[in-house]
Amino acid sequence: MEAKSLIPRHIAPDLNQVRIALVDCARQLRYTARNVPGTESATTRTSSSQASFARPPLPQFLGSVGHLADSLLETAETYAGHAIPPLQDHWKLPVTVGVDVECLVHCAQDTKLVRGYSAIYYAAAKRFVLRAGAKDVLIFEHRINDALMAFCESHPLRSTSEDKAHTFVGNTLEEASAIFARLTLSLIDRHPIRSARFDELPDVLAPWWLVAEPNAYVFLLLGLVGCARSVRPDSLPADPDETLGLAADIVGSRESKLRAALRAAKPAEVLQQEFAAIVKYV
Amino acid sequence: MPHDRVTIKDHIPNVWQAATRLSSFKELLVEHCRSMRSAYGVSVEIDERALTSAFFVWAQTVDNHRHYLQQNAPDYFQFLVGSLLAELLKAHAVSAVPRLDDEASAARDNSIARWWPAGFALTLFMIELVRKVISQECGRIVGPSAKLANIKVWQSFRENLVEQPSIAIAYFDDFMGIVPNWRNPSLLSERNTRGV
Repeated sequence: MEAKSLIPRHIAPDLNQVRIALVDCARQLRYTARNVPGTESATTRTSSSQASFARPPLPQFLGSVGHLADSLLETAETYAGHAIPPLQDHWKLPVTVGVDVECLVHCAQDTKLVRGYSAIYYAAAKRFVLRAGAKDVLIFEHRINDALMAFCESHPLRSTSEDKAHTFVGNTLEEASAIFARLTLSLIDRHPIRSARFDELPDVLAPWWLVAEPNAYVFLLLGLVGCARSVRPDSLPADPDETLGLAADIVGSRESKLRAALRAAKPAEVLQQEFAAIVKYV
Repeated sequence: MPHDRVTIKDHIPNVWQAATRLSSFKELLVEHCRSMRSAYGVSVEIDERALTSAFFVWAQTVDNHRHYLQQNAPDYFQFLVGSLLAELLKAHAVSAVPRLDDEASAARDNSIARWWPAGFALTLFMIELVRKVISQECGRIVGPSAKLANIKVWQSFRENLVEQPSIAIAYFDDFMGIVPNWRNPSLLSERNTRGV
């Protein structure tokens, strides 16, 4: 019988991964508690006419669920000990999406390094979605971690000889765009963003594409930033939020071509070409 | 003539490369817009989001017409800079800032600049850009025609732009003394200078 646990079956008995899974469980609980219809947070934006009607009684257990989620998060952080820094609030500060692609390609066994990148992607995605106008967002960090691990394990450069591997630097436009195209597709494929709640109409604060397909939009944007930062870091704004804003404007202006790349028969190749075509103009 | 204001510095080794990278292009344009106040008594500002969007739409035009560089390099640059002007005007990447203390330089006729600050600033910038690029890349000196000082041409430009943003390419050609294709200015294959 299939396990009902949210913890992926293939997760090894590794402290880091258990911690991510626990934290994601807690995040889901907390998100659910915050967004149950009729709760205070979910009805904050109801109109005054609606507010005149009697509210249904609040489920008493929701507060307890929220506390439970917080306790779980705290427990997970404690359980992980000093080896892993607390990460749940990283998104509250500007996040620089800087990925050392050479390390990433050769680091499938280094779970701590991969987890660090997962945390960066998680924080950057959450910060971007919330700053784009979402009222709440639920992202599964373990899916980002899975995507990164899968990318590392399947990268063709890993199978080359040691000498060849050492010559790879990942800082030419062609190499970097190929790497980030594959990484982006791996992330989109796993749908780490489970839910994003927008109360405003799309295009008022956020583009339709972000509202309708947050995984495609956000991870294309982060892939583009990672690629540009690895090849031409000086051309990006110093402020990480400005960089994400710049990337969002670029994604908006190239939306049709990026969508076509995702639908292509060989999406990795077409997306690599599109990333390269964009980054050379940044 | 209003084109003698130089804001793209001569020491830039490769102006075309600078023009085809958003970060360096933005720097050049910011400097130019800043100089508009002292030169013409008008203030203009850049909408960075609109600039980014327009620039990356234009980047696709550059990629799509790369083959033309080998056929007619001066006209390749002329066409692409005109296309960039059209995209920036269409996106309203530059707009006028009303100021109480606007004062024209006593020595300079700034009636066109005051009448249409954004269009004037962008067009002047593109004229300087194409002059520098063609000089560096083709070793040829080009300059604007007398129409640049004719406010009636500018009035026509601004009116027609509302209905057809790509008409900016034709007016840009006209300002540079090139016979424009008024019917389909964005079609490279129908340019009057293709065989030149």
